[in-house]
Amino acid sequence: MSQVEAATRRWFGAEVASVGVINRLVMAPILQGQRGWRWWAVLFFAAALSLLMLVTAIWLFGHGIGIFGNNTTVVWGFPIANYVWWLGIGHAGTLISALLLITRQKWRASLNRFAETMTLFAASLAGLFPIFHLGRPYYLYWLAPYPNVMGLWPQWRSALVWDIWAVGTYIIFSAVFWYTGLVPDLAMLRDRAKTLWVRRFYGVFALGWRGSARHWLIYERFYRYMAAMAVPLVVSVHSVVSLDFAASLEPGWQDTIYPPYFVIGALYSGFAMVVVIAGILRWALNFQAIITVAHFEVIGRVLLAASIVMGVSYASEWFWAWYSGARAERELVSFLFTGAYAPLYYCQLLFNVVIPQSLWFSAIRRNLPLLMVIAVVINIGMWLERILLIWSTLGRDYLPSMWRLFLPSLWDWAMLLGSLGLFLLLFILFVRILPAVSAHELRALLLEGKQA
Amino acid sequence: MSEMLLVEVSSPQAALQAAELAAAGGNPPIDVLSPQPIKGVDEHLAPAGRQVSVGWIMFIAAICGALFGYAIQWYSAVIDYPILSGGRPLNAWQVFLIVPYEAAILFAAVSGFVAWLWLCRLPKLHHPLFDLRLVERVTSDRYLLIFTGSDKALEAVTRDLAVLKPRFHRPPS
Repeated sequence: MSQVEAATRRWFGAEVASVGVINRLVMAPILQGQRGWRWWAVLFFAAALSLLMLVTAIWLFGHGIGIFGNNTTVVWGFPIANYVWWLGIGHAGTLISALLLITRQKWRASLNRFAETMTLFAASLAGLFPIFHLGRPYYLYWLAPYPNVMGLWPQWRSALVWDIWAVGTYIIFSAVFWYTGLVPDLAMLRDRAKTLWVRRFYGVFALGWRGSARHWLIYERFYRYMAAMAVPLVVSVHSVVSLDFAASLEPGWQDTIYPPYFVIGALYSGFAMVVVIAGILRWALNFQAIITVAHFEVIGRVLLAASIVMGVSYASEWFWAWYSGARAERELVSFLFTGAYAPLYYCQLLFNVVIPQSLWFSAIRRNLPLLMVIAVVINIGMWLERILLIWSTLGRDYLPSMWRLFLPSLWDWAMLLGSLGLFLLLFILFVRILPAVSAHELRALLLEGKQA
Repeated sequence: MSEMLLVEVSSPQAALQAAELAAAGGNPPIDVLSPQPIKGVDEHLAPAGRQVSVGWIMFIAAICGALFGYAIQWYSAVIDYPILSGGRPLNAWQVFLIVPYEAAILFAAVSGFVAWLWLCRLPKLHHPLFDLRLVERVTSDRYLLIFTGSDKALEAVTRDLAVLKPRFHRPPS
């Protein structure tokens, strides 16, 4: 076995002997999937939670954001924390598909499709939360610059207007990137479908792709340019989100560390979500041969590196609060460690910094159930980070007379759980309609090894 | 009316070799259909007309996007709807760079996608080749070289490629 072949074989199970095996594995859940009771059970569970989100949204539009726990001091609450959290989760998909493409990391081929799908769903969900939080959501379109009879234009010096551009660009960009990579696989489904209507369905979306060498040439260039743009885009999106906080004059928020701190946090929670989704897909769709333990092992390393950066970021926040000597900054840090939310803050540190240190050990990175538990713990930790960021700073502002706590209402929880349900619903439909793993990129990887 | 010859092989190496052999014999294939890109095969295709590069289209779109992003902020914030707040400059160029940055990427991505389809002449839901059953497998595990030309030229291709033992198809024209 040559070196190149060994390098590519590492990402396949032993049973992947030919491209035929890959094609069969990838198409099986779509073309011949028996939808067992488990699939239906998850579908109904997810649909019920999605309904909860819908009901909450309707109730919210009828009654205003007073139904949430937001008060006159802590004006942001759950919706903004959920927004930051969901958007962060989305970022890992783009990083896996784009950053790993330009750095020629072979292990992306098994993960990029569902990771990009995760990006698309998570970013779309994230985009809903600021709208829910607008108070007058029906004036959403006022944020768009268009000539109107009111003579109004957006306030371009506001961080919230930058958000619209960053998140809007990100969602459209991700959809284009995702669909482009999907076209060759849709063509395969069109050609392999057994019934006329299935054939027509995939045929329309495959756009008549026939794998012409001249088309591939343009495809590869376009895809590579997109990847090269995706990396600076993804860094800019969460940096702009961080400016919602950093461009303010609040203790704990007005730090120059915020953009990189948010981007790494996004990568961190996103990779953790990829572990959870990959673990479930691998088991549910029998992808053991194409999503291997080796994949989890490398993601484990990424998580470990990110957890260390997060630890350093937290420590630098404490250091600068002390070093600056600013009363409000110091007050905030002592509130984090001793105030009403201290138990949650300790959980955050435990979940994001301490527990992931176990990933130093290869045996733990290769232990799938344990790795998935750690990934879920990281996601909870990252959500706690985002909510505490809001609760602590807004609740411990400069004026002690304004200090208040935040008590989440049932609607807050309903919206959060509902968004998780909608994410699950979209995902469970996705794996049955579209190939969850990119067949053409896996084939290329396998053949690259054989050719050498 | 020129005839058509389809040569079917089952590995990317064989497809590359066949294209190379045929091109060396003076009859390059007009196209190669494959389930995934074959590195270097385009060098052996019959020359096509000059094409615009998708990269240039994206680059120009990015510049336009950035200019549009800045122009709309500048016009609305300085000329049409100045908001005086705390004596801050109306043309706050430092923060006005964010929108052009995002708009450049957005414009480049969308126009790159349109350019990709336009350069490939897609969407084209039906292509004459789709009438042939064997074309169904070129999206999963078969490789097809397409030759057109006179009967004599196609016979020469058949002779040149015989060493590779491919399957030859002559669709009725």
